[in-house]
Amino acid sequence: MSYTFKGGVWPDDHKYTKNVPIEEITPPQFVSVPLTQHVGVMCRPVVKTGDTVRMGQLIGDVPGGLGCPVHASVSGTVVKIEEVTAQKGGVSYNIVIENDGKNTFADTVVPFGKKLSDASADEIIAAVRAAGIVGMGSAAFPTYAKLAAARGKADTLIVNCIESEPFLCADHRLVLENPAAIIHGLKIIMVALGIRQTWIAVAGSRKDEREVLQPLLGDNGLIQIKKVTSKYPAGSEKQLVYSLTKKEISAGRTPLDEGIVVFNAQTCAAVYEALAKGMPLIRRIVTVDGDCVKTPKNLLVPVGTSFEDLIAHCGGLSAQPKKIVCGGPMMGQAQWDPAAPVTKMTSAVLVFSDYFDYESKLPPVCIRCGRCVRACPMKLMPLKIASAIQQGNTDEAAAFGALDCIECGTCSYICPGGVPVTQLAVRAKQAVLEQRRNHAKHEG
Amino acid sequence: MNETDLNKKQNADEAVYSLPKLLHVSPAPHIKSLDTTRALMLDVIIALAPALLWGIFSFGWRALIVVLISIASCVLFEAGFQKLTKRTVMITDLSAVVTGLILGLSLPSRVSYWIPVAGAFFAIVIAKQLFGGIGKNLVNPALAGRVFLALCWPEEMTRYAMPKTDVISQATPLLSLKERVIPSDSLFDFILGDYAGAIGEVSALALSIGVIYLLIRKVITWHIPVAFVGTAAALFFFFPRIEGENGNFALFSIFTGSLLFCAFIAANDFTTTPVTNTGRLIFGVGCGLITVFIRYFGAYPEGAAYAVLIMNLFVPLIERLTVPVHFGVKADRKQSAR
Repeated sequence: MSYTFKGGVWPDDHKYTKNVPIEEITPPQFVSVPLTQHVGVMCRPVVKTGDTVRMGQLIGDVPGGLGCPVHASVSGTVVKIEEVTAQKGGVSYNIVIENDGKNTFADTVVPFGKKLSDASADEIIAAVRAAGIVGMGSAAFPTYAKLAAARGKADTLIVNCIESEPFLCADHRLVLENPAAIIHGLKIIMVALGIRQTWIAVAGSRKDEREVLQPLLGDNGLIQIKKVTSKYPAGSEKQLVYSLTKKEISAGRTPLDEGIVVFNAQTCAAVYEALAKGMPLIRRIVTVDGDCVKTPKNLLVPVGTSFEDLIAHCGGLSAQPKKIVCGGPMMGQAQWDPAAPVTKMTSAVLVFSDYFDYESKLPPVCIRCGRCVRACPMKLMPLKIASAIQQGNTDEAAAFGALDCIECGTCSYICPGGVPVTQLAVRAKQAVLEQRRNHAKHEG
Repeated sequence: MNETDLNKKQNADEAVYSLPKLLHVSPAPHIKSLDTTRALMLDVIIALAPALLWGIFSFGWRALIVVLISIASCVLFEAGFQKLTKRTVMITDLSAVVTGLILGLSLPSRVSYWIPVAGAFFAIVIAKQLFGGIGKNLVNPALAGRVFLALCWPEEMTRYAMPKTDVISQATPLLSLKERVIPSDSLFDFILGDYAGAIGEVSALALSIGVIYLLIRKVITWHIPVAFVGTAAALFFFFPRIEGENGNFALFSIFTGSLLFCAFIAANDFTTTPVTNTGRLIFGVGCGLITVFIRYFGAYPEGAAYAVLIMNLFVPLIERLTVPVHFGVKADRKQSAR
């Protein structure tokens, strides 16, 4: 039996690299490590131009509050610290390091000294924090903060291996090639949080993943594999929790309110690397695909590697590129700068030509077919939110649940009239939030 | 790696591509379903092909000419209106073709040639474009056009020819049902469509093929056809107008007139039906009820088109009442109840 939720869509999966093994790239000559790669405040640089840094050395520290440290992904010299536009918007700073090619590790890269059974939760969480681990699905929420919040509250751990976005195969390859790292990582999290029940959520279409994971589970039944129907957005946290538990997480609440904590497969593997080797999160698996890439591949790349370098590692271009999408095609951001760097949350770099341009010659018109209503995984009426905000009616947009929108892109994907429904819903969400802020200001 | 390095990697005889300095940006999602409005309309046209072919087979080339005039005038009125009002001409979305096709198929084959033109004018200009065009109109344009014609030129609109002849039939099966007489023809003729009626409405078989195609292609959902026909069939069966003939009366009532044409095709128009599944069920039940009421208590022998038009007006209300409960709202309610 396979777990599922109502709604969703079945886009072509485009997973051309699902049989392509992960390839470690030769670290590039320059890496540009952003100081914002996570939810929370930007890091404060702790190195300056001209400093020599080693692999895994702390280069950006948290000034206080929610944040996550960043580390050098190659050894070499800091060339400059430049101001850039962050991939999610806003100002950020990148630390540019020239690679000396020696790959010398920092002294801080040492295994966690204790046996897991002797380690306290505090120590494990501190190690995770020091390693700069963030949620690697796409949310990039600092993992230590999630762990700290889940202490004493969570009784179930869900490991998300679903990757329902088309094109993406990074998690899939990780599960096939290094399932032990995921299992070790989730066991560390189980110890840290005192959790006795773990579900590994795997897409129904991925029989191969279940076959490699099954022998590693142990026979005490604490870790189980759960098959989830392959459709989009089955990998979304709220939909995943609902599929497995039938518990609905509304806007403003987290799975923790139901005693559930969800981690992505790559995040689990990163936790394992951090404790077993003391290796901070300085590399990740990125799917490089799209119709312009000559040989699509899954690459293990240092954080800060530019998109251009990735494309070069995949044999260059095979068509004239128009768009580069960072992340999956349903929720990823189109980037304006081909030299932008890979961050901790870059699951894919997709290079698209005109072929993936769906702009119609006709103006977008809602024909009220109701497909967005049937497909919306949050059971909203996207067309109503869109038309309300087009008329400037923020109250009505709020009444139709604009704040519940998870921006998964399903409604825009399915719309026959070519209406940018998701974009309008996002606009509605911002308008509602702004209205509430203004309201609060007047009240206060 | 810069552009020249990338280019060196390419073979000399291959086209050379380069990364532009600035890339195109657009909001997610970056892929789209290929079911565009045009594709959906094309599916409706394909679904109506069997009914049209049967109409031509039964009523001759005149039937085709009537349908073609209807389609051509719908497209011309749409293009003309959009040109006149300085809007983008949207005829390539094929919605005007579908309107013309549905209108044409709902006419008798012996109408004068100007009748479809007048109907198309009412359908496209009055019912559709004056309300804002596709997606904005309140009532189904094709059915509005048809009802407009029936009200203005009732004599033209009842020139139903006997199949394969030019003889205009005097008694349609609906009239005999209205007079509480089971028609003398066999039921099989009605299912196949071998009787006097409108071009595309006579063959239940052809229309069923069409609706099954639409359901398989997921152009429409099952809710309206099933609720519409189901409600009407239940009423015909349990409250027949001919005592003791429950089964027969129900079958003859379903397979004659424009009930199936409306339930399977016309009532499924996206714009003028509710967007929620529950709403579509309510809409279908309402259509079924009103059809039977008009047939039983009204002055007309047929009421399906009127029923759909009346229910079209209830769509905003039905949608208000059937807003789905958002994901998480139930959990919130439980939370606050604690």
